[in-house]
Amino acid sequence: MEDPNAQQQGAAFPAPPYYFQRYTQPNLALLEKAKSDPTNPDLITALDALPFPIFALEPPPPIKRGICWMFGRPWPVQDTLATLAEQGIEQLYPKGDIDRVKELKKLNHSAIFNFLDLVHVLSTSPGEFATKVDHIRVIFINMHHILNEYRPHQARETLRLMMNDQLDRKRKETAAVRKTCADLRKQLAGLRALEQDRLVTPAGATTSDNNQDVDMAPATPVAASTSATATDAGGNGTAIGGSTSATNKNAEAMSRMMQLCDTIE
Amino acid sequence: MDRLTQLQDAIDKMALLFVSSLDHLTKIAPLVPLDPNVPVVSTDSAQELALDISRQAKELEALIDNLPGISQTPEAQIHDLENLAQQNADATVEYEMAVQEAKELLQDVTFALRRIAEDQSIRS
Repeated sequence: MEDPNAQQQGAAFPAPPYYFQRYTQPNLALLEKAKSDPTNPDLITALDALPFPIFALEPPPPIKRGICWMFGRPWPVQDTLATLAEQGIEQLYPKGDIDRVKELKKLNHSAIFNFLDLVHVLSTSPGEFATKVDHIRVIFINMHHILNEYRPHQARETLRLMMNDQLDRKRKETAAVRKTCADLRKQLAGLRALEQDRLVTPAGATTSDNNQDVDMAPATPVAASTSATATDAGGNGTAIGGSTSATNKNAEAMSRMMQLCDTIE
Repeated sequence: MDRLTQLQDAIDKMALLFVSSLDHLTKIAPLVPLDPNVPVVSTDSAQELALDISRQAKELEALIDNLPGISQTPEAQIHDLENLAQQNADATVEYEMAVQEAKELLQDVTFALRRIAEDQSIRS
């Protein structure tokens, strides 16, 4: 019989949290009763016997305010950028709407000047370096803060660009699908005219097993339209009405239509 | 890489240059001649370090100039986004209609193909 602790030390995965043992059938029944009728005295005595509050069986509600801890670090529930005053750093650039480019440049120059001052202090009285180092630190923090304030704007811009992209792609796809449909329809219409012609000219009167409506017009106009569709289908423009040439055109039309089918799929 | 990140990296690089130049000067201090008769070859690292720092400052300025300005207020942006979302939904509906048409047409076409194949097999 293995010691469960030893098993835990050697196990690949951590053990489940200990409160899985609370989820027994009687406890779950108690939970249902507590939710529906909380003032029942039998219920209250039964609940007092449990070593834990009954509503611990429900999942905890989401945290709405303040700070929550995750992976050992505190995270604010409302994720906003803390202002410099809140972080305890002096704000060197003016409040409100400012020209970010100008302020950043000013901060850049003052960083260089402060560094020069630092070197000067170090060469004259090295013990007093702390104030200058602090100044440089404040300047850098200010610069980073100005940039952090850009980030939400950048996120929205990126989102807008991506949505534009998606919209364009969808519209192009729709147009392509519609065009392929139109091409196929033309092919089908051409084939139907061909079929009418084939069934009317050789046999003369046989129209029985044709499930498409065949126009019983005289043969000459039908032959004329067939020659037109023959040149459209790109087949031999000279043949009119012969059954072998109809077979050739059929085969060609068939291969082309299968190609168009593939593009649809 | 986007410009904000580049800027942030440049600022950090500047701070690094400050630190490393001071460090370099203290550790590898230029030599001072003890005796006026003994010439000393001193490397002019101070000049190089100063050059590096000023070059980085110029880069920072150039990057700052390239910053995209905040042209729209957040409200205008959100309004644009909502507009785009609506258009996207509409385009999706149209796309699905087109696909539906295509599927029906596909059925017609397969039927026609089958008839052609039958005709040809009857004929031959």
